[in-house]
Amino acid sequence: MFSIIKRRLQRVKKQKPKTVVGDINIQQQAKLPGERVRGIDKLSRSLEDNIAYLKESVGKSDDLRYRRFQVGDSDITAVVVWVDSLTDEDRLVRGVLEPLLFQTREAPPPRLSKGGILQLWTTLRDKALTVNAVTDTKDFDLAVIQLLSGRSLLFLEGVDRVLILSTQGWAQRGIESPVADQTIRGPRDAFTETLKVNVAQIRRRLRDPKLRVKLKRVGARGVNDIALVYVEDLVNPIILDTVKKRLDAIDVDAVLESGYLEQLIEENWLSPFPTILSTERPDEVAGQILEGRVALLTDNTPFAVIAPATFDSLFHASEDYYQKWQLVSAIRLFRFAATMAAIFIPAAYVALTTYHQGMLPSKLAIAISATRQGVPLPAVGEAFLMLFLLELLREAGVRLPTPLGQTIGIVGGLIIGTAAVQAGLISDLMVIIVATTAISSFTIPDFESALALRLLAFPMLVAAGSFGLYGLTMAILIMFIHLAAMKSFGVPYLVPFAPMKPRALLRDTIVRAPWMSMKRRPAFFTGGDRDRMDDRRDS
Amino acid sequence: MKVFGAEKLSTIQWFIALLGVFVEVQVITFSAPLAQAAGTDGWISIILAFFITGGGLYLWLRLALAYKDKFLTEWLQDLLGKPIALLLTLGLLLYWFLWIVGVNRTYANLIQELMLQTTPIPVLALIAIFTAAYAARHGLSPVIRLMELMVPISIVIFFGLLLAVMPQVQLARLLPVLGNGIARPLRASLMLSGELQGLVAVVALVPFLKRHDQALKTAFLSFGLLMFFLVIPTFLITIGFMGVETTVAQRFPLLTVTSAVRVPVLERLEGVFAIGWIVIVFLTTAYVLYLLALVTAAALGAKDQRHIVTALVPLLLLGISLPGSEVAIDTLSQITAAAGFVVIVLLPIPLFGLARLRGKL
Repeated sequence: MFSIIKRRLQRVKKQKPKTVVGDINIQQQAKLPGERVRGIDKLSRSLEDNIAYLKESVGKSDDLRYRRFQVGDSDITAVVVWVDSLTDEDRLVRGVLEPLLFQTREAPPPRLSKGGILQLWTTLRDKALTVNAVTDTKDFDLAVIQLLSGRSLLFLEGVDRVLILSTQGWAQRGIESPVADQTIRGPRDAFTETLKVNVAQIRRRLRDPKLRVKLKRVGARGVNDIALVYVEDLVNPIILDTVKKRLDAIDVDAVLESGYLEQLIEENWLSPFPTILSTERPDEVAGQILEGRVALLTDNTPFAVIAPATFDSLFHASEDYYQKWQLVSAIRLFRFAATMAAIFIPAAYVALTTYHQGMLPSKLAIAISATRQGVPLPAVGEAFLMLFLLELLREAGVRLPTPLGQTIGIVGGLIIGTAAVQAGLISDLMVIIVATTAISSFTIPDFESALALRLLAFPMLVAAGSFGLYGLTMAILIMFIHLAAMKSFGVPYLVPFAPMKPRALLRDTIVRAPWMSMKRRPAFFTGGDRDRMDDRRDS
Repeated sequence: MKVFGAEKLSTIQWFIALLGVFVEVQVITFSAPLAQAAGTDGWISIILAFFITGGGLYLWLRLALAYKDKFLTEWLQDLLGKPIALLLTLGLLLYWFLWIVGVNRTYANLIQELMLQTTPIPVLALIAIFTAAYAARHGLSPVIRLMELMVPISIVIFFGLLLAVMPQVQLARLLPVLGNGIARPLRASLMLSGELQGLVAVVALVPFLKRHDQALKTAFLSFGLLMFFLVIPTFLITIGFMGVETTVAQRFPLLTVTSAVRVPVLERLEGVFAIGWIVIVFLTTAYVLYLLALVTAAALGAKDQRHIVTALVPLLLLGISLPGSEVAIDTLSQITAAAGFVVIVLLPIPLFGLARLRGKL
């Protein structure tokens, strides 16, 4: 026991695995996450020692299975280890146990010399096992992580190595329609919780030999796979490098969802504005990658994150590129106007009715005054109450099952709203204003941005309620200073508005130019090939 | 010295920054003193002021471009030696400080009169200065980016309102031309030259430019556009709308002009105009605050100018709150205008001569 502890305390130099077979790039995976949990140990030639290490590492879990047997007709003992809940037992039996137990009988038993054992090992690895991916390694920690990822381990008496066998398999959700990123036109498939499926969905769209998928592991306890996906000659190497460095710097227990990743790698973690896009649509990821961005797919979540993001990209939907440019431009203008409305309408109403009644046309001022007659709360209090109720209803609607959520909407919107007006607590006009605000905020395609922008209405309301239009102007300026100071992976957040990039500004921002005029990719993301298309219609 | 938050400026950014700093506060008030000094011929004074201050701007920019990689304080030291450069730097700091105090006091007065009659001046000033300090603490790049966003919008609002007043303008009010000879407009042009106080402040941006070869051309394009398409039309429309006597009696003549605009949705459009103008003043304040902090940091050898921005806030607030009467504010603006004339027009002449003598140009 003492020797085991002593061995574990000795940090030996990390060794690269010798063989790469199948679909896993071990060069990438060999970089272990979270060194605060474990060191890296060499395996022993003693099978018992190895199994003891393993048991010590993973503890006594009831779903861990050990199968001890003799290889073929020989006296050489082997042990296969797997996690019951993560392994496809059919693959394990057909690809590992059957070949080892039956097919090796036909081969003559090797002599128990060192060379003979190694020869058997090589034969097993290269000729006997029929699973699609076999990795030979001396790295004990890597083997443990692979075991906990659903792969099986094969130990052999007299060999200080382990074979990692691709036998993972568990129940998984099929590809379904997107829930959060719905569109009228465009593909109906969304990402799932399985990384492999998600990568495949992107590969199916981008059959580009320059498409790169680099796997990384993050999380010290809940180790999770992250796939960096980009096109090599489109990505800006500085941005890519920044993404990689920030991923490497993550030292956290677990990344359970891509939202963790998003918050851990963004530079403006105090800001409510997202500097990384998130989507569950593979077509959107493919489109963004083609602009030179980097996508990060996280295992166990259907949301991909894309970096870098700029302010205007938060208002773009994937179907903006599938429809005619005139329609899309008009829709985008509506979206921008709706966003402004969502943030400023309640605040502007409060400022105008509380401080600057003289700025309103007389008839409108009289009409507003009439609707507010008998309302006990000041306009700012009314607006706060209604916006608070709106957020309450929205949150309740999200948390409840769909049919009940709709009921809550109807109950909240119609019954409470009408009752509040009839009770004289709020004015009719305020209901109209808050309803307009709510509808406007739901036009923003990115859910997180919509939430951030909608919540901004509260500080705007405070500013307008305290200092009228002056306060509101100052609050807007503070918001824009904040946005102007922000960067997403080195790219200014307000680009192409500020710094102004006239070409990009006219092509794909508040309006979208015809595809024929978007021949170049945006310069601020793309690192290599900037030509998006070549118009050959006239040739 | 490490300059926090300053990236290289593109030519577009340089152009817009110049426009933003040039416009500043006087555009809303200058018609009254100019009409008093030059009568209907104020527009001739503006043209003359363009050439006078243009000369000063040219000399300052040539000097800054000769030392294009050095900050203002550094090249002044190279040219004048440390003690004189330090004195001159202190003088410039005081001038900019007084300028921004004057701008913000006028601004606070206007906000009080137009929007928040019961809110005390120090409170209004405090909000503006805190917001400007927030911007200045983020560095030059966010301030310039904000200018890129806001200046075009403010200028469009400004032009829109000026155009909306056009039907009510009587051009006959601008006659006769040179009825009282050239001497009055000439004297007024000297006064106006001192009012264009943003000119030297922008010289400090030269080391941050990406393309120095376009600096002069862009600066004159921006300055020319401002004078010929904004300042002259403003004066002509103001006089054409109200006449000289009424204009002279106004504290904020341009607001009186814009109040005549009628649209179906809003009344008292001077409020909308004032919002556009708040933005411009805010941007000027943020930029000058950044500049004050940067020059002070350079003079003191401080590593990070952000702390100096914070330290300047109470000083500015005190300066803005101190003038107790209109007379005191007028005196302050006369002092800064006189200092402005010295700094913009007179000072660059010996500096330029010295630089030539030393073979720097």
